[in-house]
Amino acid sequence: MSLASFRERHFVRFWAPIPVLAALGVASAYYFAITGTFWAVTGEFTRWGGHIAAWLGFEPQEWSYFKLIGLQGSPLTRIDGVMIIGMFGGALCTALWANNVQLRWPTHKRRLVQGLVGGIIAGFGARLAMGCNLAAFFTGIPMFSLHAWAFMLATVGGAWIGVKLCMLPFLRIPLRTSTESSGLFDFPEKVAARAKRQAQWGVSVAVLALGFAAWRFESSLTLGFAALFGIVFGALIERGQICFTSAARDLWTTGRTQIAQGILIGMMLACVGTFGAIGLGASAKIFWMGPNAILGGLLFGIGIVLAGGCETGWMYRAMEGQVHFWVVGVGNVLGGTLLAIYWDELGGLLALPFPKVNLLDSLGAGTGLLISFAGLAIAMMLVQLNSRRFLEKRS
Amino acid sequence: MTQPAASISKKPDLFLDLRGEHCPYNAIATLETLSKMQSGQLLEVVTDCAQSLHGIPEDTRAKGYDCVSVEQHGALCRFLIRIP
Repeated sequence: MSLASFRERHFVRFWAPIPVLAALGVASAYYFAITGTFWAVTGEFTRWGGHIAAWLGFEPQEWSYFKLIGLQGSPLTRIDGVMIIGMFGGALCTALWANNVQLRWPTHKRRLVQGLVGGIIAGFGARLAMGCNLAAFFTGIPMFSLHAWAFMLATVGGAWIGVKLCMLPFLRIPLRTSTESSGLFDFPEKVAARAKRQAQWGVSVAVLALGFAAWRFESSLTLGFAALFGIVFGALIERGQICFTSAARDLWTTGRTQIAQGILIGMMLACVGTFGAIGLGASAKIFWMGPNAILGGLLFGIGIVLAGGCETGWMYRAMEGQVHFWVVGVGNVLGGTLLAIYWDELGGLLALPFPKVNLLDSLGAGTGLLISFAGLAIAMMLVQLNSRRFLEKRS
Repeated sequence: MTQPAASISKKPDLFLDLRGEHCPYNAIATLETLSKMQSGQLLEVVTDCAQSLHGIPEDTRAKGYDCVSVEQHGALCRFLIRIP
């Protein structure tokens, strides 16, 4: 196989999402075992908001939310921080190798406002529930924290509201149809020349990202691994075009099943790994099973559907040059920071008085694992049954 | 994901340009456009969000349309869908 055809097959064509999600499940369990924390991004986005608040003269280190999640150090010295930098590097690198980096503008200014508002709602909801599609869902359920189940179900509910909002007439842009060819594909040689340039840039980004990881290994083994795992996570979500938003939203729009099933399979695999790590002494991250998890999930579901992408979705699409998702990212940081500002009132009312339910402790380790698997299996069945609603019915 | 189907010599009857739109709009717009077309006609859809590479083929096939070609051209995705 020539280099060109190898590249076309593995680095240009996107990978099937189910195996990618399975790999992400396994990798996230390794990440937990090695770093002692779960794969998570929004807590760090909120800390960025905290740093900005500090530059503006506020004292975020005194806010109770930052006392809870910590604001010490910088993105270069925190596990979540270096992991996220790794994710951006990994996603940019693979997007370049796929010749898929290009500035892309939304069809309409309305979409940018929609993205910003959606991003703010999603960021706020995620932090209210102490995690986004990762910490309160994909890596939260494998922590055996009951709140993640509540968040997952509430997110699916919120996505239904989000779909209704998205279909409002003022958010529908008139379609551009024509009976004449667009002529967009008349210059394949230009695409090929660009592909070559982007491949070279991709190699440079890979060298930089690995260099960054090596530099962090100098500081500590944990930070180095966090950076390396970040690169792998970023590369995988870009290669598989993994979209958690699609998994929740398209249960209501077209009955898609692939990504939802992949996520559930990924979580099953992750459960086995985290179960082992917890058995060997790692401490699981458990959060309050309060109304905050349900309300947070609902808001998150609405926000991600409006924005068109969740916290992991905007990260790789921003690297691909989709301007819309830069705005969504800014919205996420704003939303998380807003929640931090109002945490004293909200947390005291909706979260702190409620128990942190660890399924392994409250049911016994074996039963807790079994119940988690049973829950995921039921969810898979429901996703499959749901898709039947859409068969034969052409919208 | 270049799968140019040799059988498609026919020029598309309608072209739908969805560049700049994100999910779920591109899948929904595609299905809406298809529902207004007639049996035997061919639709070309262009998007610039790679996400649609998962969505549009799965959704159109689930609705019984014939998604005959899915191509990647750099940042652009091109789909050819036939109404059975």
